[in-house]
Amino acid sequence: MNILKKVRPDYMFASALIVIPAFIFQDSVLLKWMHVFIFMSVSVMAGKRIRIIPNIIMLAGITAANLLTPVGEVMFHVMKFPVTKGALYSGLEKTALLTGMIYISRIALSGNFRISRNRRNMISDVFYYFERLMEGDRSPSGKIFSIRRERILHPAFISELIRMTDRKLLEMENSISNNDSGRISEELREYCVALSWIFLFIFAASNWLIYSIRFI
Amino acid sequence: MMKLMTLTTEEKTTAAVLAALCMFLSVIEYLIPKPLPFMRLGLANLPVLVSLAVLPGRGTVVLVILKIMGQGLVNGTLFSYIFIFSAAGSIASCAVMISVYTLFSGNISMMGISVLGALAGNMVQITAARYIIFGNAAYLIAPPFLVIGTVSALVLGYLAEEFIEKSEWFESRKRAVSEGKRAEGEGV
Amino acid sequence: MPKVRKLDYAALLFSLTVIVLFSYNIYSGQGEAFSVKVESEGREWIYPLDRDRIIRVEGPIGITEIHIENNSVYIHDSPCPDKLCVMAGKLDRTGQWAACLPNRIFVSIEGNQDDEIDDLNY
Repeated sequence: MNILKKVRPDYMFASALIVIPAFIFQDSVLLKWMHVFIFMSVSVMAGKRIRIIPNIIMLAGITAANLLTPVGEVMFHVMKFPVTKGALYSGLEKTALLTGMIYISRIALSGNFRISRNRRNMISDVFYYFERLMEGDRSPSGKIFSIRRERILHPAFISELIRMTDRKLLEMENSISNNDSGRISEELREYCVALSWIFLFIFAASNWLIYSIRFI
Repeated sequence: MMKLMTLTTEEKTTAAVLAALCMFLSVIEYLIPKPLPFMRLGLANLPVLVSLAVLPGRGTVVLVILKIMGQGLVNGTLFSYIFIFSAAGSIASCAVMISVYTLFSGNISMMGISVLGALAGNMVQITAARYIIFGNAAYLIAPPFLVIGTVSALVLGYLAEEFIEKSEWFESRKRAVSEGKRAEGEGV
Repeated sequence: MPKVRKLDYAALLFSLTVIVLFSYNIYSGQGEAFSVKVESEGREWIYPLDRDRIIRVEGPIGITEIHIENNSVYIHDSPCPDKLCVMAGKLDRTGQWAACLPNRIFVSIEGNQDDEIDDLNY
């Protein structure tokens, strides 16, 4: 799923920059988690996968690490160890900060890089080369990369990897000059810009609205 | 300042390809099974080491910025790809590696440079983890994290030397960069 | 096999030295972290001793103000008539305590849960 397919990457990046201060300066843990929830939704809309288990492990790990330094009122004991309000609170706040920053940076670096390829810049070049490297073994579309785990554990793998990479890079080198095929029409570009502005406005407004709840 | 950051076309191309290689290696590293979440090889640092030998210092800086952004895109696990940590760590290790390379090149191989870069990067990451997320508990896992970091840095330095020595692509890039510089130098 | 240069050994040695010193600092410094425990009528609060802060705890006759400053803790003010607790002065070692009996507040210094941290470590 990628509803934000027509949003330009530079607008995505700018929207993230606009939103980050609202997120960082948010004092309330609950509202901070609301920002995180929005970020996660937008990431999904931008076609990124969200992995639940690593997120939960991270949340538990960071909260546990913060609980090691007790601060504030003791709520209850777990096997003699005091669980304190202040430490729990700061654990949840830090997890929100970290999770939020991960998703906002994913948002910042999403959008359709092909749209802006007619104006060449280094970032779109990087993604172009990255895609070329990834299509290495002409794998079926479902599999990103066809190296199997058994092969990775083989001792000769690394030197083979160097050789393979070198071959691929040389191939790319020869085709660098004629990669200007990604041009798009003028109307489509205007359409994309309009959509990008709408996205930027909605995303920025919703987050700053949450931030301004405190002033009401 | 703007003048300092300008790269020739060939240098830009090299940096972009190396940055793409960083992202590609991140994906490969992601596929390698790890016994512990923070035991990582840091394969993505390989292109940064290689860049020292072909790009000027500011080219490596541009590469590292692109690498940080690219890796933010390739999703990850707890210790490998967390954006803020990797950004802080990468910048610190990049600064150290560029200085060591410029000061001592000839007397030190990629292995030594890699070890020092990893030390700086990991120390910064631990400090960041201490203040941003984990509190004092971050220090408890610091020693094994640093030791593993040093060992993998040695391996990476070795691989970088191998790559520089054997890669035909590297040879042709190096030629292109120096010719490009001469050509643009004459143009001015 | 790439050539290992002189300064490579120096770099490795330097790294290992830094790691050893750093690790030594971490593991030996662990025992020195104390925490302040405040008790009042069945409720309990814990704060690290190494971060300055002002704690206000409500007891039966009013609010007792406790200050944590420069790795020591003292009762700054309490609504009791005799002010014995304020006169108890600064506490900075494990086992020391001060109490405001009229306001049922007890302040003490504890070692920082050393055994728990070790259990979680490995």
